[in-house]
Amino acid sequence: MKNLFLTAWICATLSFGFGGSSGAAEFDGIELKMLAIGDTSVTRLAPIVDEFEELTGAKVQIDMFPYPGLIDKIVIEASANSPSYQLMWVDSPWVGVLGESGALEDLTDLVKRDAEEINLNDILPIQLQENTWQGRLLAFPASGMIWHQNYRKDLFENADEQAAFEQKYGYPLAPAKTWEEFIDIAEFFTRTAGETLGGEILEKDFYGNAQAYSRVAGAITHDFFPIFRSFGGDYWDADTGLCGINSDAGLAAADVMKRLVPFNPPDYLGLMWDIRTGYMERGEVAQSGYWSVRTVRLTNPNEAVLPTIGEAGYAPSPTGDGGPIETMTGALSFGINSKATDAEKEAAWAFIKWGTSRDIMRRFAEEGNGVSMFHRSILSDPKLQERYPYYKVLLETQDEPGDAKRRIFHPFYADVEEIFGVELNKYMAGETETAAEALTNACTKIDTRLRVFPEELRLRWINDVPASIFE
Amino acid sequence: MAYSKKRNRNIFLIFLLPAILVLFLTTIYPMLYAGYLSFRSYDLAKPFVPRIFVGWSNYKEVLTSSEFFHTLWITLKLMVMTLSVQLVLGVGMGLLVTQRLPGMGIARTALLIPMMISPVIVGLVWLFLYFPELGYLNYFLSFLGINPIAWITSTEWALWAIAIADIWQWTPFIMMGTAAALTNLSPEPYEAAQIDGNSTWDIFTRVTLPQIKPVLISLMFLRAIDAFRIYDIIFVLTKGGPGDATEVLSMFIYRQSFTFWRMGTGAAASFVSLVVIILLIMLFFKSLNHSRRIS
Amino acid sequence: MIKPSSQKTFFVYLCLVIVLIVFMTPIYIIVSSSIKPSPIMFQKPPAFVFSPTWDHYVALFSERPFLKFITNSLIVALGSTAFSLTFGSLAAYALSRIRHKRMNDVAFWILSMRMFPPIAVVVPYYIIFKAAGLLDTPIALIIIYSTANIPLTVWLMKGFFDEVPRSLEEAAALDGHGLLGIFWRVTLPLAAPGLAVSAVFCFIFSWNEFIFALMLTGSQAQTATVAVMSFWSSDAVQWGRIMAGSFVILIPGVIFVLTCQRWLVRGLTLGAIK
Repeated sequence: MKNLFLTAWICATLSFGFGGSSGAAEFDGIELKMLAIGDTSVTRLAPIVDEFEELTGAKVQIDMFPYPGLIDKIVIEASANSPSYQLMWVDSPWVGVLGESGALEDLTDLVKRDAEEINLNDILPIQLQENTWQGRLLAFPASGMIWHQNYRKDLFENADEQAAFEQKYGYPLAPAKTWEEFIDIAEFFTRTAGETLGGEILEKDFYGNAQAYSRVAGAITHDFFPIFRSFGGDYWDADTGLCGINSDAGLAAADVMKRLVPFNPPDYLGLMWDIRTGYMERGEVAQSGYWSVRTVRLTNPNEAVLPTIGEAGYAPSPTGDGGPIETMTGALSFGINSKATDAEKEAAWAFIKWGTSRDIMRRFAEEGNGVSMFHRSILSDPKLQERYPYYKVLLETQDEPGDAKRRIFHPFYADVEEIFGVELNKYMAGETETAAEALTNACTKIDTRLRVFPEELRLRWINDVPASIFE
Repeated sequence: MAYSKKRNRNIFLIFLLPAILVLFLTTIYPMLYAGYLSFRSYDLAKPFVPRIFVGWSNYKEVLTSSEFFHTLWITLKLMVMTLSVQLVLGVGMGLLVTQRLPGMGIARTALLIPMMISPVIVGLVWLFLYFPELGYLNYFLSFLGINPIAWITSTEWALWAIAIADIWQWTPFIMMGTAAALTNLSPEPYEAAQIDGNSTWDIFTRVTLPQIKPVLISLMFLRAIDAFRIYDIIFVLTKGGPGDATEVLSMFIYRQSFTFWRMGTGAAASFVSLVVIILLIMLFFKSLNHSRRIS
Repeated sequence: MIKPSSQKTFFVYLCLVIVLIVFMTPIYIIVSSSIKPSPIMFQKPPAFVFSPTWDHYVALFSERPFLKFITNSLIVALGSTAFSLTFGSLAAYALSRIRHKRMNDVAFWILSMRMFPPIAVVVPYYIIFKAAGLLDTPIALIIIYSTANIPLTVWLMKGFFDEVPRSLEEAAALDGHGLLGIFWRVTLPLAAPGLAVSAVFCFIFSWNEFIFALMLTGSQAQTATVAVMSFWSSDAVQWGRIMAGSFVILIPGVIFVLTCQRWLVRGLTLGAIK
């Protein structure tokens, strides 16, 4: 079956290839450079850019830079008049900064024009909205992501654990739907070496939860905001456009994080992205939330220990009241430098179309680089769902409009991450007495920066205008 | 006479000129530009904000911000912590590796390796050591019966954690400078001192130290300047945290200039920090000349 | 020198072993992590025994044109070192020999070039190099690193030149040598250890610098340090790759230092003659 598919795919590419060359290579002589990162969304594409050159004649060079400092480099690059880079890798929270400075080309018309070619109807709308600024689509998803929870499926299905849990908490053990349940489960599974877990004596401590409390690059805010959003919180005050995180939802979220502290590994204050996901990947924690771009590791014994000692399960992130799923989305995307020449822009768009196309994405998934997809047909493919069980969660949480909420996209997103990173970290470390004080401190600092701007502008910035491609 | 003073001075000035010219030409524009920025409200990412002349308000903002003085205080504290240990340890190691014993050449090269690693990578390596639970350091310390220390995540240890990484990286700098200075010494004063029957410590303080002092002072100046600009290690290890316990001056400038895109404030803070370090070094100079005159 | 006693020898080696253990542990971590399989990169307690993997090294060279980046680093580091040593040691010699109270100010001004926070001048440098068409070339980095390396060389070399006895120079002058000749044949060889130290420091600084290398280069002139750090992406820090890269880029530095060590010894023998 797989071979058949491969053959079909090769035939398709070949015929497409011939079609391209007979058209005397549309973009012959054009050279494109991409300012990018060493991320899966890029590294899986980089080795096959020659195929794009064969198809279209345009040569693409991908330069990979470290994530820290990348946005600074992009903004400096975007402020220059004759750009060195025509293509840019974009993390979706950057669309505000880059959109407001006019660094990125509006892709709306191009997407509308080529809607059929790119299978627009197959793409999850929220993933396009995620890259939208003031109604303009500024980047195209290359890897869509959501914040969801991973858990130890084998332990959750263990009969002894289930019985003990139900006896203690009065309801059956299942992936948490609310944060209260999440805290219960975290408490239940926190064990020290020597105790039993799933019928076996533990050699080392086991934790109920592992999440980021570090302020390095605002890591703590990545954990805080999904909780905050799930309590119905909004970053901004709808009337003034000022910081709105100092709210009931903010307090509730800070409270959840603080209450989870005892069930985290002792280095919780220093835990950041992959160090904390490492706990789940080694199977040393019962449940843990994270961006879906890294979930693929839990299916691969070469990258994680868990598949060899247990099994990972996947579920949407809990909500405040157990109500409808409101997952937080993000996107790693490709955009076009607005200062590139028209010919370069056209070639760059061709590259984006090719590099994010359903065929290429399916091919990546077949090759093991499934990561985090955004085409409905790929996410719903039974064979791929078997290989990447979390595709089901990705689809369920994003398929219906209104299911998911996008990440922060304000031009001051970096201020928010940085300042809340510090203040929340201080609160978790016990340096700030109360959550209210921490949130007020952070909001005051952010508001000082925002008050410089007229209210009208602030209100425009917080307004998530639907992408006009849907009109 | 070929060695006439007057003509020589002119030739010496010609020797001096290229370096001065190169430095002047390569720094004049950036400095002027930064100076210009420091009087403007300038947001690189947001062209809709007019780049208006704002007078001294950027400077006023910096000089009235408690955040700035907090970072200055942390920077100075870190500077004293690292420099004092580096000086003592570095001189000691310099003396050690210049002993004429087999294997010293290899040891000397090996001990220089820390310095050859990029500070950003040093930060990452020390993360491996510092993780309270997963790290090597607490694991090693557990054999000595020491309970896990929250190196980078507690306010009382975080600054030390950074200082230790910096000491690890830059003690070899002092060591190598000391070693070079020691190898350059003339042996006569030693022989005289030994014949006089002085103890090793006396020989060190009376003969060795005065001779290597000029080199040590230059080394310490360079270290002081670099310690004042320390950035990379912190960027990776704590990014200024926990809370703002390790927030140094360069982090402040970086956050203003880039993260917050307030280049004007960042530039103003840079000039203030330049003035501070110049004053510090001049103070150091003064006290040095003073002590020299006394002795 | 007098032969040390065996008691002292023991003490010296004991100190050396302690120092080596303390200073080499992080190096051990780099090496062992560079061959450690990703799933067990972090665990409690750290894995000391494991079956090594070469994946990280393979990936280093297959996922990035790493050899090219190392070449770039070499060009930049050697270029800046040569440039800084030439101008820096000449200037240091002049500063050491001119007797004028203003000279201290000049020396201080040179040193102050190293004091300005680099972050504040990234953008202006970007603007000029863009205008000059030097963006993404080694020349841009050589120029910037020299503004930090020349002050370093001047300061270090001045200290060493101060220690060279004037009497030797005067004797050479009597033999009919010009100033440059004296400098080249008498003073510089006597200050060779200083030159070696300066060379090592200049090289290392240029080799390791991160911010300017990140902001001012692309694929053409990217340095190895930036390339290693580029394994820090948004979804993962690829520790194994970074450690493998760190180890690989250590090697040229060690070779350079070993080369310079010979100068240190030569300085010693020359010093003994006087």
